Amino acid sequence: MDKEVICLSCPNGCHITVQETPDNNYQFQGAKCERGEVYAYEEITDPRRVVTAVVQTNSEEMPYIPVKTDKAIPKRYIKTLLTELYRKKINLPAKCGQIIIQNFMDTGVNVVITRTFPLDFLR
Amino acid sequence: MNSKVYDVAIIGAGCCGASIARKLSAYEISVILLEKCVDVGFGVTKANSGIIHAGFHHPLTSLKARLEIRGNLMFDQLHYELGFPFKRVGIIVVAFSVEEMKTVEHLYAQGVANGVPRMEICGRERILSLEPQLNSDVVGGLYAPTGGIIEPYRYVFALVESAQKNGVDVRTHFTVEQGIKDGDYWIVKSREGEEIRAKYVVNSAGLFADEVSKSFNAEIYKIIPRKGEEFLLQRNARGLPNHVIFPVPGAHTKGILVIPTVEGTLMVGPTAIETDDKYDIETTSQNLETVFMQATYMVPAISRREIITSFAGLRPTLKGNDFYIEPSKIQPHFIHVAGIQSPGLTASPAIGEYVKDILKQEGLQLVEKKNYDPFLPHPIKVRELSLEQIEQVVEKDPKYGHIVCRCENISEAEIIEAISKGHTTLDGIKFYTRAGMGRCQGAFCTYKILKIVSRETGIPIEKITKRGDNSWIIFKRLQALAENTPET
Amino acid sequence: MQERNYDVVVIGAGAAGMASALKVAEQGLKTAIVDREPFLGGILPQCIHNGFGVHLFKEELTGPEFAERFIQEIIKSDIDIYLNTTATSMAVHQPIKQINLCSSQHGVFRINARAIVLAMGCRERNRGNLSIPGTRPAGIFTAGLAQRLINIDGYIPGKRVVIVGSGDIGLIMARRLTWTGAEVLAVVEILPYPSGITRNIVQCLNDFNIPLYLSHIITKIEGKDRVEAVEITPLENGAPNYAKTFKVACDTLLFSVGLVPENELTQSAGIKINPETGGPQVDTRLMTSAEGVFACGNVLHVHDLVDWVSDEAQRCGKELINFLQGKTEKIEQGKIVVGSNLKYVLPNKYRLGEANRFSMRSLIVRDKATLVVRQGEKTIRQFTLRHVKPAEMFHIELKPEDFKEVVINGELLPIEFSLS
Repeated sequence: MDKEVICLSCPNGCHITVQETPDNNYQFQGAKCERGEVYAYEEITDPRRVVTAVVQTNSEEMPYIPVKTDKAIPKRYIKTLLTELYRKKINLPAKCGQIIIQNFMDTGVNVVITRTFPLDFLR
Repeated sequence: MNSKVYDVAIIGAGCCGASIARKLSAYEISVILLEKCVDVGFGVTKANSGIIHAGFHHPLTSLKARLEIRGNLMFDQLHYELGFPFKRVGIIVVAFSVEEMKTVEHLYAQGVANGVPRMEICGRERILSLEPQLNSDVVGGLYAPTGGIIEPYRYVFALVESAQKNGVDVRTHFTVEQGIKDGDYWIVKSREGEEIRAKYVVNSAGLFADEVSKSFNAEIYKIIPRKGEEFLLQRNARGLPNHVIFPVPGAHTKGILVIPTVEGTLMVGPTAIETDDKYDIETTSQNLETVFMQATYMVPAISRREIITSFAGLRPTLKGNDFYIEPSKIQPHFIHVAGIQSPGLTASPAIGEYVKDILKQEGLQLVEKKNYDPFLPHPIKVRELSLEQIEQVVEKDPKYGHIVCRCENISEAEIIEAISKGHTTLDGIKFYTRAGMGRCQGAFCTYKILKIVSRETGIPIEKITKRGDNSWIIFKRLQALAENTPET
Repeated sequence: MQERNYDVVVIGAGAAGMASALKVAEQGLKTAIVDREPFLGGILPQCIHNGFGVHLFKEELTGPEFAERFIQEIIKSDIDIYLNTTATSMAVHQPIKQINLCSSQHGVFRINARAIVLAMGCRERNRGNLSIPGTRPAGIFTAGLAQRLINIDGYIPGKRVVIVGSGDIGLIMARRLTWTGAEVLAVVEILPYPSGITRNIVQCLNDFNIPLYLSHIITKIEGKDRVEAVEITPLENGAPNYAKTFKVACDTLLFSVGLVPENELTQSAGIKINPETGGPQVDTRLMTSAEGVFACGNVLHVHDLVDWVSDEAQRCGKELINFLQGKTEKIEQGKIVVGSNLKYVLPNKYRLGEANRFSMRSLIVRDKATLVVRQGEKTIRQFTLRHVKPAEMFHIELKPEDFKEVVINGELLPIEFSLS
């Protein structure tokens, strides 16, 4: 059966038709570059997303701090990850890039803080 | 139940109830003002156009014309004492045909008979010199310089504040459900389960005056809501006139007006459509068309691109279209103040006086208070100050330097003042300070105001409302998800 | 009143303000940056999703990360930072400009400066601007306000949500709300195609099976206290077909229906506004009708990507420096005429002797579009564009040699841009 994947590797947004061949391989049509095929293969076999959220802190001035996964995480882990993030509480100061969860559920994905607070910490 | 006892209970804190309360606060009697909404002025008054009519629209044979003319004259003094915004910008009625000019002549004659000062009939050239923005097809019109504009809710806030200052009790969230006669007293019961006692009851319950009257076993009548839709355009809108512009009036309405509001925005409306639903304050796209068609006919430069918001209100009308202000013939010590439609706002100061006189005739002893203070301190408004003045107030309180509402230039200190006066809903704060009333309609200040209210009152964010009841703003805090896993 | 003197004051510390301030401070000009909020970064800190910086930094950053690249530089620089500070008025038609400011920390004070950069950004259009009929209950938010409430303050605005408009902020908020446990029931778009980028359609709607109703409008809002339902009506031949109206019960309505440059300060100072963009009129130097007052970023015209904002702001900084150094005090400029299928071209002037960069927006959706640059009947240059649509800006550059034949008797002739 054909499946359509919209490539998100770049703003082109190629519509790629993916056809599964009898020998369990895939054929791709519509990708303007090879990144598209790689993307479509992954989207069919192991879809991943970057997750961004905010996590509670111990500061009144900055009650929540933004975080992201440093790589895309398999979609099936997103719910578990969000639950863990909502339960977390971070002590400030915190620095952009600081890892708060390492190798989440052995996915190789870390969760990092994306905003430094307080700012004079930068100096 | 041990209920508190008053000489007079006033039901409904709109412009009439508030005006009556303030008038009575000058005397040595105990008064309570009861309001079903979360704040005063939140019923009919809130959606009023804010016109102080000159007094040429109705013949003197009607009670409303007499009170309108008297009321108009009282606004300078009230403005001086209470400081709410008021400007006598003048009213212009525009005629676009020879036939309409006949009506103008009729209005002029009626106005002169009513004692309206300084009116003029204008030819084309005169009217265009007064109002250059008018459609150049205009034939002529009427000019009544004593007409004016106010912000109706701020007028009510000021009246109530003044009444409170002089000893009147105010109770919001008190929905009168029943009045029971108990000897010399009325027991006034609320749906919320409270009750108070009063010797006299004034029914100024606006749209619900008929239901209140019925629940006191007094006269049976029917309030017919007449809906009006209004559109508010931004500050410095194109077509902003110098005066309030009226068309030649129709049978029951004064028509679609173009109003330069007292704060510099432009308002067009209202429509006038009878409805049988006292809660029907929906706007419709059809009426938007009607309003703009008529408004742009008078002032072509007006652009609907500049609309910042629209709203609808209901006028409480009675059959016959006059005010019904008199003591009940069935129930002693029960006074009707009903059917107060246009020009009710203009008439309201005079209604206060008139009801005071009725109460006196009905046997209420009125001794003037020695320490009555008609004045309110004028609140500081950063937007009205010069840089030097702002500097002075910021020195005293740095919160005047923190501009919370960027569109209307409202400082944190002004918001705190509104909260301290009991306005703790977003609408209450908006109507008191204008924060959230400008072009962004709260997109940039809502979160700031929520936090200030919560900090000043201790109300949790989730419990703050737009205007009471179920008008919550925030569902819950993100941290609540720690216990409650989201479904994804 | 206290007065402070600077070479340059930048009003607004978002993406545009920070990039332009850094550019001018780099040249040793004494610079101040002013913002109403208690932090630097403008709207970026609340845009916690990723996708920023692909063009500028060649990597995908979140909003706060993108902002922080600039914030770090600002803190290291000699730029004076005034936060919690509102510019209330300014006098600009004179060599030394005066900007009046107000803050709880500094009180009322005045900055005297040789040049100003306007970088106040934009605001969101709202329900009132659309005149949607119905009641006025609580629960109506702009998408940006909802984003701020969730991402900065941690307040979830509702549980059953309908989003009006398929702009990127609205789409991003569809996912954000879903991830906080809310149910997003519909995204309603008046146009026959989505306004947001494809990636957001895929990752913010399709991933969660959120229906996108194209060519539909909200025809009524219901609810006495809080939003209770909305009526959604399809457009057929451009007009609502009320026979097919359906109702969706919800408690929250989010508006993502476009942005408007925030130019009240600009207008009150008597600077001319371009009605097409809503921003100030600017020449090739990004200078407004007031000499020495420049504008960049969303206050000038609403951008689709923050990368282009930073880019424009850096250019603005350079132009400002050249102006203050007297290099471009007097330059000759020709007019740009906006032709077919274009909403605007910015700047709408050109100059000789150097490359000219133009930003514009299409009025049509088309693959393989052609942009033709003409002087009279003569085609100067032609560009093939892979895909154009109103939601996306595009940029072209004309080289000095393109202007070879546009001067007749010392006069710069008008050049027309048109798209087909």
